[in-house]
Amino acid sequence: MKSFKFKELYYDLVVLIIASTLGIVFAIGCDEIVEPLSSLDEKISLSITCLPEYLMKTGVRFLIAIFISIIFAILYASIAAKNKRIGIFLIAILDIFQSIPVLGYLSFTVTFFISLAPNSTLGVEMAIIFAIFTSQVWNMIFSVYQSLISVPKDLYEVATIYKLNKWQTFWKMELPFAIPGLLWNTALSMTSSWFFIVAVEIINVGSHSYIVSGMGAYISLAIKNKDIYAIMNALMAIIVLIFIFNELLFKPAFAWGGKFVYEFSATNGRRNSWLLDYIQNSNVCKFLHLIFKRLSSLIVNLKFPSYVTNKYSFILAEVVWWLLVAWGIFAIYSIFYGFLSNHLSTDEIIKVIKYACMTTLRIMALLILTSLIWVPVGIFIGLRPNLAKNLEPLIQFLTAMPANLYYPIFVTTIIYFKLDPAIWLSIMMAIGSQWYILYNVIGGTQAIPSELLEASFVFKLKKFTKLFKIILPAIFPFYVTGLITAAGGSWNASIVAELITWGNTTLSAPGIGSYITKNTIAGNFPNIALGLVIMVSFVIIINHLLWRPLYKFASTRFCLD
Amino acid sequence: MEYSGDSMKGNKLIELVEVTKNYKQKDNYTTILENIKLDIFEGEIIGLIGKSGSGKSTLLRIISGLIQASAGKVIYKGKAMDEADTKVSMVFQNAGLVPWLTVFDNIALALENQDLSKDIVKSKVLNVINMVALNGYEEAYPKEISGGMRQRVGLARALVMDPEVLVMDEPFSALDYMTANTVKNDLLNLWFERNSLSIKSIIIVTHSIEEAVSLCDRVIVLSSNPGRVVADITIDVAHPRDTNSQKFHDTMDSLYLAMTDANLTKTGQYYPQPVSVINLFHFLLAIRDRMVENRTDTKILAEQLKLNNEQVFIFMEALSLLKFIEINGNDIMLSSSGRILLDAEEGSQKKIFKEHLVKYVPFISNIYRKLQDSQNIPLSRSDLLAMIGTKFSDEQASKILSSTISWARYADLFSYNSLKEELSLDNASY
Repeated sequence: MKSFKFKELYYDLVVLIIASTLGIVFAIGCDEIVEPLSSLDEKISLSITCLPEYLMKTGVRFLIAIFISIIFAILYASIAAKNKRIGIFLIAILDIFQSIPVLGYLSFTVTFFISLAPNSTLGVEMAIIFAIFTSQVWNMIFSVYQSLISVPKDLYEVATIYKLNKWQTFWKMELPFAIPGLLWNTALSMTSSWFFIVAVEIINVGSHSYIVSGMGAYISLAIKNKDIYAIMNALMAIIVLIFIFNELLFKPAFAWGGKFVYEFSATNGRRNSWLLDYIQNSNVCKFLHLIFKRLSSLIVNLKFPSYVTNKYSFILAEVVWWLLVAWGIFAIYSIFYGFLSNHLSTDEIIKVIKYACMTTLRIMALLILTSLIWVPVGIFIGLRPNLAKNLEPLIQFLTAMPANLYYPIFVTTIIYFKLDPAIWLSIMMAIGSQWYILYNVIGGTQAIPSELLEASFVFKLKKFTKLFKIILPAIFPFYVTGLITAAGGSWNASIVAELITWGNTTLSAPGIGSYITKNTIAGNFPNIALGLVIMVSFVIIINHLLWRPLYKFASTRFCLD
Repeated sequence: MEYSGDSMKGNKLIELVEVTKNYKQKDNYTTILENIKLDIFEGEIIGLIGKSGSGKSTLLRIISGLIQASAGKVIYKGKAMDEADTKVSMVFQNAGLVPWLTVFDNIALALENQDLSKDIVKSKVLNVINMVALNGYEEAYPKEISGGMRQRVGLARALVMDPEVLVMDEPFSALDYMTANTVKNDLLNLWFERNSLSIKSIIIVTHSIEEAVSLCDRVIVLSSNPGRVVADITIDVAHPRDTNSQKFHDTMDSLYLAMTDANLTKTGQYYPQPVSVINLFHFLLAIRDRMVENRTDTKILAEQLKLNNEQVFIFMEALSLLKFIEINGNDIMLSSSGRILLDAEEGSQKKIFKEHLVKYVPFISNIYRKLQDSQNIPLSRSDLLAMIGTKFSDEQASKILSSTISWARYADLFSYNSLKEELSLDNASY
């Protein structure tokens, strides 16, 4: 009995140590949020001793963005799922928003947030957090929305029979049902967010360069000073941060979220997290949990006064909502219309469309090229379970590594060999996104039922036949998923990859990405707006004419179920 | 314990007056239940039985207040359902537990809105847990316990709110035979000791005739499309019921007869049933093998083929639609073409089957004619669904469609392109 108590004390101790460390980190991370704007060289030091502080700041921004994303995703999806009229509109909006490359509209958001807090870094902080938020929130919303519209009928019937009101049903049935999907998508979003955080922390708009200390600023100074050593340090630091996030955030979250999976057989192995075990066994946390339970039951069992729940207040709220929407659409429309009609000629528009076509061609060519490399490699790895198991963490990691970090290597190579930037810069667009193809092909190959592979062995199929009759069709839906994700990533990457600087050298390839970047640096808002509108139109058109039909075809024709 | 249905028949608890349920899909109404008149008395276990599509689960949900009737009234102890202080509780087919709540919390969920103190909730929950013999599992999650235990938790949750009426939606169908029997016995034990409980009546939806006869005091047989009450049979056998007794068997026979009448003598058989052609042939062979003096009956087939009666009825419906068997009361006979079919070579089997499809299945002959008239311009899935019309729910309609395709494919009558979702005449028949 005594040793048991000792063990609990030990759990408490570990949890307290971790909690207080995180508290200190958070305090450092939040420190100096509000300070005057200053330039890159004055503020950032490439010394390795400064790195932990930058890392913490970047990490804290990340945490805040995740938190906001989760709350926003739940709110947005719940409203969309609960009110059909509003829902149709919200989902359509979502389709547009997720097609907008985050890096494209940074100049607008930065200007907007800085106008909220002029002369201090608070505005830039908000803009950065907003950018991370917009880079990760869309698929989270989709996931929650999908869950909310597919809550099993059983749960609703139970709620009705036992007379739970709608508010209680939401907290007890609907939201828990959405949790596993939300967690999964949050983790997925995180991998792509690393790319943006590095790109966003160094943002130039017009003559202003807005600097806040963090990993992004560190890397950009390193690039400016051509300091390979500092870049290596940054790489290591980000690896450490990803590792910490995994251990302290995602693994415990997944282990905890496992209980919300709607299934009644314990077939899927439980995910484990040492941290969650410690938390669940520690007395401090048990006590906190009790308090939390009381508080949450207060929220869940909240009784609304009748003037809130009655029909008319809902109608009123909806009317107000549509008025706001109308106003918002009008405001955005007039801004863009003003830009496009007053400042831009038809020639300019045709030029930008040409650029967009070039970028599209580049992306398509890259997708084909990377497919030719990674599909065979993916199949090779996927057919060897042990190899796949060993490589999985590495590939996940490569997916998470912000591609911006590799840019210096490419730039020096291109300059050294005097290569044509229009061709060779393109490759960088695929650096970050190619892993999605590899990852999905491996996943697809592993999902081929072993009976199919055994059958092809028993019937002595030739390697060629086996590849074309069994393996390629079976992985096709997975491959298409990877392709779509990679294409989305490439559009975003085009903004940073088509125009690159290393020290004083600037390389650029003609395309919509470099057009947007050049105009962002020059502060030409009408041109940025034009670039954005055309890029978004391209993305949406390609989605609807190519990816969706392809995905539908893949999932109906080659589905393994 | 001696007990008979009539002697304890008490006050009227629930009264259904001309209850009708329509579902709107697209612009049309599909009638699920039509003019249901039913009285439920205190002290009765009532069985609702009928083929799938008979609306028995819908009826149960109307009684429990989960859904509203489109027309007619549900009266609870003399008052309209929505005004009465109803105490109806439900046990679900798959227990309906919330996977992220422990056994204890799942049961406590039923008391959530009753403004009870924490201690009372606790003692009530522990009491029902004790009743269904689940002590020790309070903190377990549903996925950590077996299916039978989950169904007990569902039962406990239904009991904890002190209901007067307990409705059960095929509560044993997801359990294996042994487990189902123990849970059934426990239910009956609770029922006979109900002096200590508030329960006054139980209504069970089931698809098993044997289950109905072994548990219920009264069995209501529903027809399908739309569901109507076609028989109301009182089972006057003392508990505990001996499944081998003559009386038990006679009661089962009369229920089989009522089910057969409800399902097969109805005119307007029009669509293929959801069974594969291969299984139809096997069933036909099974009938021939089990014939004594040229006839056999439903109960024998159900028992010997280890099929539940719902499946047997589907086979019989399909075969009588195709005129390979003839049915007379409880008797089943092979028709002359059925006999010929079984003795034929494979090639001629296909031919006979095809002939019968075109001749006796009106839906298929309609499609056949349409395709021939239009020089084989393919019919799209939505054309075909429109031909099925509004009598069925979307789910039923697409089931009908897939069995149509499957039957016609066997007979080389139609071919179906699943990517384009188009049906056309097979080359062989064009």
